[in-house]
Amino acid sequence: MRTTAAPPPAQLMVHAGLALRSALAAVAGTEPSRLGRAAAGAAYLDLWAGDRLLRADGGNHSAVARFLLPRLLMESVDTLSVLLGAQAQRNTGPGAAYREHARRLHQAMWHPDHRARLDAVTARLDGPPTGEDRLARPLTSVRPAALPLDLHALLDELERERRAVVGACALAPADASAGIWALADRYALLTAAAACLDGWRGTGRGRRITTDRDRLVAALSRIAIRLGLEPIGPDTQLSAALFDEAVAHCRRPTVPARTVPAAARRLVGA
Amino acid sequence: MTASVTYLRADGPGGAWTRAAGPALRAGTAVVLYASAGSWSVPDGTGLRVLLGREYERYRAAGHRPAARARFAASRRLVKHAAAAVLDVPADELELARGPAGRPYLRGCDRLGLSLSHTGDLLVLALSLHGPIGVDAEPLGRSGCRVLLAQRACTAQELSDLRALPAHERGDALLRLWTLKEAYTKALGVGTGLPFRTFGFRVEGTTAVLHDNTGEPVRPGEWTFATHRLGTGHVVGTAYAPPPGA
Repeated sequence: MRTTAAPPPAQLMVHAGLALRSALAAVAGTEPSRLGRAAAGAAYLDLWAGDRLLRADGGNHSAVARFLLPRLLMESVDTLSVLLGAQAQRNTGPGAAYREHARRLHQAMWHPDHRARLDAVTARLDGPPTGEDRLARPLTSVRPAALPLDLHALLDELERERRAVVGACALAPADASAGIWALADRYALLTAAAACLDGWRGTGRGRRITTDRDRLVAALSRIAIRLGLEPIGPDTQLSAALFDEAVAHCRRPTVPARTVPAAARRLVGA
Repeated sequence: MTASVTYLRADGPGGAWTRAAGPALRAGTAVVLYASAGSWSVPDGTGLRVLLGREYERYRAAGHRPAARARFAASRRLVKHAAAAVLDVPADELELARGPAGRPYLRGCDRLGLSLSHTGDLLVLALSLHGPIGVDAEPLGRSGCRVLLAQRACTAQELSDLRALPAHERGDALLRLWTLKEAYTKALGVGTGLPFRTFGFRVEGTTAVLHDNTGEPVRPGEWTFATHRLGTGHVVGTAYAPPPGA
């Protein structure tokens, strides 16, 4: 049976971005529920993390992005149905558009090349990460004392997890096994966490962290949950701010076109 | 659309279900395994610690009620043995993880969609190799304040459909709707975040059609819904994405 090629990660980002836009368009002029606002903020955070990963790990060629992004984006886009409420089931308008993009993400997640995507990540795990592998070095070079307390605690957990993954890679069996598949998942999540962190630099000499710390902590918290670690945030106040940021993000007309190649631009008619 | 779900009784590791589940899934059907929690019980100790892996601490924190902890352990044992039978890997190598909204998945084996439900001593596990899946089970004939439940959970169309039924059929019909709604929100990974009155169902035999809250059927083909009465006296609702081209 012939199967179509799996959509590249950048195209999935377009679908996820358009799903968020559709969801926000469906509730424009209304006062969304607290859970709905949180869902929009969460979708925005995963888009942001996905964008960081694509920039840091080789774009559409990134084995980690090809493996991780289908699930990462599907999870947060599905949750947007909380924001849409009854609109999620409409056959026309933004609700229908939202469902179409969500369905594309489901298909990508369950595409027949799933095993090949997984194998491409496990191929990296035949020994401890070295050289250019991002997990060969600590998640951040910033001195712990220079970090805000919440970020410090979260990074402590994530760094402990990175060291555990590095150790597990050294002992990983050569043959495919459920153990190494699970290790690949943890490796991919930590690579995404590292990509989020690489957007900012603190020198430990008083220079300010340039990227919004709250957004970083919230995005890392979602990755931490997926790793089975304790998250830090976001709290209610931050959720509201993230919703506003998601709205502002979707108002920018160039978002999909800025970050994806020509094929994805054609998808959105840009 | 015809629902294609294989229901298998799976009381404990081994048995005919382990040979039937994999081929059924690969043939494109969803599989619903059901079992008594007691048949999957496992005592606290080294074996359970190995089986649960990172979830062992969660088990230890699963409340002071022994029954809750026993059910937690039994459900994980069922999930891992079922997935092991399908994926042909050792059960204790599998790790059950959760997304930020609580949707469970097998770490690194997330192509096997899964959903878990329990009620009383019954465990129900739904599996799919073709997309997200959700399942819920409830005992039929359950007493309770049905009118309030219906008003809280049903659309106007569903309430009208329920009223059209003979009085003695309404309770079970409501439970069918309830399990379908639970199954759908689990398949979406949103739990109780999506109010049940924002969508509805029309049950047609063992299948159901999703409607919006005005009673309009939602575009077909996106989801398939099945409702089934088990021999245990429970009703099971299942929501799953059909295989491409189905």
